[in-house]
Amino acid sequence: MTLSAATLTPGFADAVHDAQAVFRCALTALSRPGQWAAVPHLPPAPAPLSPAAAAMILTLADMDTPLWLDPVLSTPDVSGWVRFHTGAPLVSLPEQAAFAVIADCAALTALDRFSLGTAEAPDLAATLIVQLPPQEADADARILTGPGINGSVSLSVSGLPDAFWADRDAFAPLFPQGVDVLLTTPGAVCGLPRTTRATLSAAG
Amino acid sequence: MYVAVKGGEKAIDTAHQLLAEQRRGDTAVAELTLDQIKNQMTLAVDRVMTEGSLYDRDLAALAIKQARGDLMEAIFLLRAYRTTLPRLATTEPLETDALRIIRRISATFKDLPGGQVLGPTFDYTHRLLDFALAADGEAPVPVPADAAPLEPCPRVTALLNAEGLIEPDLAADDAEPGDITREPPLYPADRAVRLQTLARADEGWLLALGYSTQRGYAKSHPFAGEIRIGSVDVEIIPEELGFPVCIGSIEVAECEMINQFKGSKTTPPQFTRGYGLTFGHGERKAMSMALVDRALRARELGEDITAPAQDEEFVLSHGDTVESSGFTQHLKLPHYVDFQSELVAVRALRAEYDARRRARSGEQGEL
Amino acid sequence: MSAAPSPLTAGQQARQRWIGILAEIPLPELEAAAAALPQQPGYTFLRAPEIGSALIRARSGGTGSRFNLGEMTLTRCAVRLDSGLTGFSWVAGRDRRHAELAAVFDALMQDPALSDSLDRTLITPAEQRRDAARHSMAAKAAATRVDFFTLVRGENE
Repeated sequence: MTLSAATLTPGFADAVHDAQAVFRCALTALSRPGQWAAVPHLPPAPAPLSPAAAAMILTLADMDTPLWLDPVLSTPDVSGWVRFHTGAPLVSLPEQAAFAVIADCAALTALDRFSLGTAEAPDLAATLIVQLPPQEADADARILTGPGINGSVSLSVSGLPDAFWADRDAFAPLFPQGVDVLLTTPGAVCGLPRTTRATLSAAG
Repeated sequence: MYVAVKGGEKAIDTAHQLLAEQRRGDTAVAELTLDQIKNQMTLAVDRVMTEGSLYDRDLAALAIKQARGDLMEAIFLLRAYRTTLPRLATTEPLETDALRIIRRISATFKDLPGGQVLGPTFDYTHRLLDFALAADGEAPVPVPADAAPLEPCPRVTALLNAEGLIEPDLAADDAEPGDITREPPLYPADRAVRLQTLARADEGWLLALGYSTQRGYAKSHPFAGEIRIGSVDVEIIPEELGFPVCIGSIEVAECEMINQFKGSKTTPPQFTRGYGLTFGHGERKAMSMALVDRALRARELGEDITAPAQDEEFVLSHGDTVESSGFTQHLKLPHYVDFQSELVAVRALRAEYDARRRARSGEQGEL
Repeated sequence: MSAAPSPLTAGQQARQRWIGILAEIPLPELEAAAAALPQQPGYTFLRAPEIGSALIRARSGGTGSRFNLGEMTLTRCAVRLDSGLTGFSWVAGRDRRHAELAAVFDALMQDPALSDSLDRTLITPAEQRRDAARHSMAAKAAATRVDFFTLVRGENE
C-alpha cells in the first residue's frame, strides 16, 4: 500500500512529550475507572477517526502491536494515517489485535471476538478503543465497582449495546483474562478495565 | 535471593562522583574525545556495536568512554539505550554479495576470481611493540589510491557449488525470522534465532567454543572458505514510497567456514557450511561465530551430539554478556537474609555433627 | 511480505537515487545548500524528526534464509511544503536536523522548477564525492591484493 501523501495529516506536534502526557492520561483513566479524563493533546485525525481515539492510537500503538480498525474506520485515510504514524500492522481479524478501534458502537457485540489473553499471559488481551456516538442526556446510568473505585461510581453512557455490558460480565469469572476498554468522546477518555463490574442503576 | 535495602544514597552519590573522577584520571592529561575513540579505537567500537546489537559509532564511542574502556560495561550501556528506541523499520536483507570490499581472503583457494585482498590486517605483523607509536607519532604514510580497482569477487562457496560438493544455502522459505529481542528463545531454536543469538554473543565465549571444536570437541574439520570485510548499503522499503531506498551504509565482517563432512544417515558426504557476520571489522568474532554455527547444526545434519559446542541450549544461553555478567555480578548485592538462614542451618548441622562425633568417641572409649 | 518487485518507473528511480544520496550527505553540505536556496521554503512537519531503530536483516551464508543481525539507529522525518509537495527521509544515525533537511530536499527535488538546479548543485556533486571516496578506498584495498605461491612440499627431491 502506498500512502496518499496529499491527504495525510500530522500526528502529535511534539511526538515524544505529547505521547507521554497522553499515556499518563490513559493510565489515569484505567486506574480510575468510570471517571472521564480530558485528553491533553488532540492530533488532527482524519475523519471518521476521533481526535481522542487518534491520540490513544499514537500513544499506545507501534510496530509490535497489531491493530484492528472496525469497518467504519477502515478507510484509506484512517488506515494510511495509522500506518504512517505508528507503523502498527493492521490486521483483518479482531482476534489478532492488540488494539481494536471501534466507531460503530451498535455493532460492539460478541466481545469474545477479541483476544482475552490466556491465564498464563493475560497481557495478551486486547484493548478496545471505543469512539462513542454523541451522548444523549438521559443515558442509562451504571454503577461501577472494582479496583480503583472508592466504593462505587456512576457512569452514564449511551450508544453501547446491552450485549457489550453482558459480555463484560460474562468474562468476569475468567479473570485474569478479559478485555480492557477505553471509551472516548472527541476530547476525553474513560477507562473500563476488565476488573470493573457494572450494574444498571435501579434509579436510572 | 537478595533483598532490597534502603539507605546509602549519599555514599552511592559520592561513589558515582569518585567513579567520574577516576574515569577522567589526571586532569593534566588531555581528555579523550569521542571523535578520537570513534576514529582510533575502531575495533573496540566495532565490538561494542556488535555485542551491543546496535550500529551507531558515536553511541558506541560514548559508551566506551563512559565505561572507562570496559567493553562489557559499554555493551551493557548500548543495550540499555537500544531498548529506548522505537523500532521504525526492518531492513531488506544485507546484500553482502555487493560488499565494497576492503579485505577478502580465502584459505581454501589460492587463485580466486577477484583475488586475495589483505586489507588492514594484523595477520602479518610481527606482534612486536611499536615504540614509534609511543612517541607522538607522525601521520602514517598514506597508501596510494592508484591501484586498479578490484574485479568482482564471487563467493567462494559458489565456486564449490558448481561441482555440487557443497551443500546449497538457499532462501528456504519466506517465514519471518524469529527475533529474540521480542520473543524469548525456545529450544530447540531454529537457525535464524541461533544466528541472531550468536551475533550478539560474547566474542570470548564464541572463540573458546570454536577453538574447542578445532581441538576435537565436535569434529568439524573447518576451513576458512572466505572472509570478507567491507561496507554495504542498507535499504528499507518505506510504505510511503513502496520502493527500496538506501538509508546509509554499514561496515560488516563476514566469514563462511567450509567443513568436511563424511555424511550421515540423512546427508551425503559433502562440504557443509557455517556462517558468521558481525558489525565492523569483527573478523575473529565472525570466524568464531561460523565455527559455532556449524557445530550447532549437528542435529540438523544427523551428527552425534557429544561436545559442548553442539549443545545449543548450553551455547546460546550462556553467551550473552549482559546476562552472564549481570547474574555473576548480582552476587555482590545484599544477600544478608539468605546468608543468615544459611548460617543458622550450617550452625545446626555443625552442632549435630559435633554431638554425633562426641557420642561416637564416647562409644569408642567404652570399648 | 513484499511481492515480486515490479520494475520502478523512471520517476521512482530518480527519487530513489536522490533519497539515498541525501541520506549520506554530510550535514554541513545540506545546510549550505539550504542557505543557498533562492527562496526559503515554508513547510510543516507531517512527522517531526524522530529517532528510532531499524532491525537489520541478513541471510545465512549471504544467500540463505533471513535472520536478524542487530539494529541500527535511524531518524525519519516527513514534511509538507507550503506548495503542497511532501518529502520524506530515513537517515542512518541520530541527527534530527539531517533528517529534516533531507525530507525538505526530497520535497524540493519533486518541484520541476528546482529539480535540475538542485541536482546540479547538490545531488550530483555529493554523489561524485561519495563515489570518489569509495573508489579511493577500493583502490587502497586493491593495493593490498596478494598472489600466494604454493611451495611444493618435495622432501625427497
